Amino acid sequence: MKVYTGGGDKGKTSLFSGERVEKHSSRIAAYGDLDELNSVIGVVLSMLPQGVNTLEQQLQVIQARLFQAGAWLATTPGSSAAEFLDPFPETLVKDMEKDIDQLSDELPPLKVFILPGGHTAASMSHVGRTVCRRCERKISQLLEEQNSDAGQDEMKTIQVYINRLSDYLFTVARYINFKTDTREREWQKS
Amino acid sequence: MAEKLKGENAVNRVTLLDRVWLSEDTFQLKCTRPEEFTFLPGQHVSFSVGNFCREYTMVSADTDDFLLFLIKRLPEGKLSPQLADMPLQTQIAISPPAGYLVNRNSPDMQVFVATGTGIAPFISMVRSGARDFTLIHGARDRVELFYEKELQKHAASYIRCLTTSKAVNCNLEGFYSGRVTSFLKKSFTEGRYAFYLCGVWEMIQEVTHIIDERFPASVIYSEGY
Ligand SMILES: Cc1cc2nc3c(=O)[nH]c(=O)nc-3n(C[C@H](O)[C@H](O)[C@H](O)COP(=O)(O)OP(=O)(O)OC[C@H]3O[C@@H](n4cnc5c(N)ncnc54)[C@H](O)[C@@H]3O)c2cc1C
Repeated sequence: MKVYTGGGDKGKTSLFSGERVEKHSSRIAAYGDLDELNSVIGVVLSMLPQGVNTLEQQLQVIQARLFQAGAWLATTPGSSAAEFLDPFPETLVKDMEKDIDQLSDELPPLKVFILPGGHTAASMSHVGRTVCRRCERKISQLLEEQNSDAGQDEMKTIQVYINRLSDYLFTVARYINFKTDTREREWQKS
Repeated sequence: MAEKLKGENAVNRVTLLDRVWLSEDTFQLKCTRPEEFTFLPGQHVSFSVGNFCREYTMVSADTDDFLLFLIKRLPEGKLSPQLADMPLQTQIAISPPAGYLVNRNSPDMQVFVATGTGIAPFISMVRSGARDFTLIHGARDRVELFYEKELQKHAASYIRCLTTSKAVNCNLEGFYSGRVTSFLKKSFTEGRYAFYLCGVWEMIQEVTHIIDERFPASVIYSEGY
């Protein structure tokens, strides 16, 4: 199957629901950022140190979920194309919260602000966390631009999921630094 | 819907039952249908032979108890010549069904645009009950208008675009002398449609640009190769 299609050479692209939109449209921008986020998680995965198998499994599941979320963002809410998509239920957010809690249980309590950095995988996880925030802003804009409430449930859940993912990636960064005995640098007031 | 299809994660084995040549280089291949193998009309599977995998679209109905494919033999191709020559009763591995060029229940008038074997998904849709659609099929010669009679019976409008000059008497209703792109540019009524495109990518790319210009509010679903 060919990777290049040339269909978008004139500045437009097709949504999964079939509509033609400008490549800079909010919807394309949002799922583009989600794709970037998924790629960053791929980098975190490829840099993971030994002995953090739980993270490997969790991150792989998250990558699949982000793919699912991307399909929702590429679909106009309320369109009939939505019936082809896997649901994105709120339980996924709850599952992520459980993962955060479990990882946090092993970590020393956080009493001060810490600076992004440490082990390369941890640093990359911080990058992922910031891309999450950008995705969240884009999804929020999309929700605002949309005129009706039809079919917005999944989008709202995805927004919450991305918010939790940012917390999760923050925790992952700390977890990796902890497991690799890498010092977390605290923020000092200058 | 799609995720509920059975047999999705398994590799299926099919047995070649029959091969009928529909033109000089294109044949219909009949295979057994694995148990529990369900698909949406318009979907394709991937055939694995040796080191090569290639996708082919079912042309049978979702209710038939066998699978049919419409395959063009490309002389320099890696897999299609093998499928053209392979003895009947050979077993082949096929992937689970995939693809989204399936009926999307769009409120707009459905316009199917195909070139060559790109007609395949629409055959399956018609055999599974699709009606009230416009079909624009491009081919070199009339002999390449596969399943012409069947399509004529069910299409609301069926435009056959033929590119070889001797092939068509332009006065015949439903025929157009020229490529599908030229028909869409010059002769298809402007409006808003649900376009389904299937064929080689070059055609899909050109048609997509024409739709952007002439039929801007339309939706496009496409599958190319
Ligand atoms: C989703 C999907 C569905 C497909 N459905 C069908 C189908 O129902 N019937 C069918 O015959 N083919 C179909 N194809 C094409 C098929 O998968 C193979 O690409 C084709 O048979 C050529 O394989 P090959 O190994 O013989 O040639 P290769 O060695 O792969 O070389 C083939 C070259 O010819 C081009 N080509 C591929 N198919 C065609 C064609 N039909 N006409 C003209 N040029 C072509 C390719 O772009 C490539 O450059 C489909 C492809 C995709 C991605």
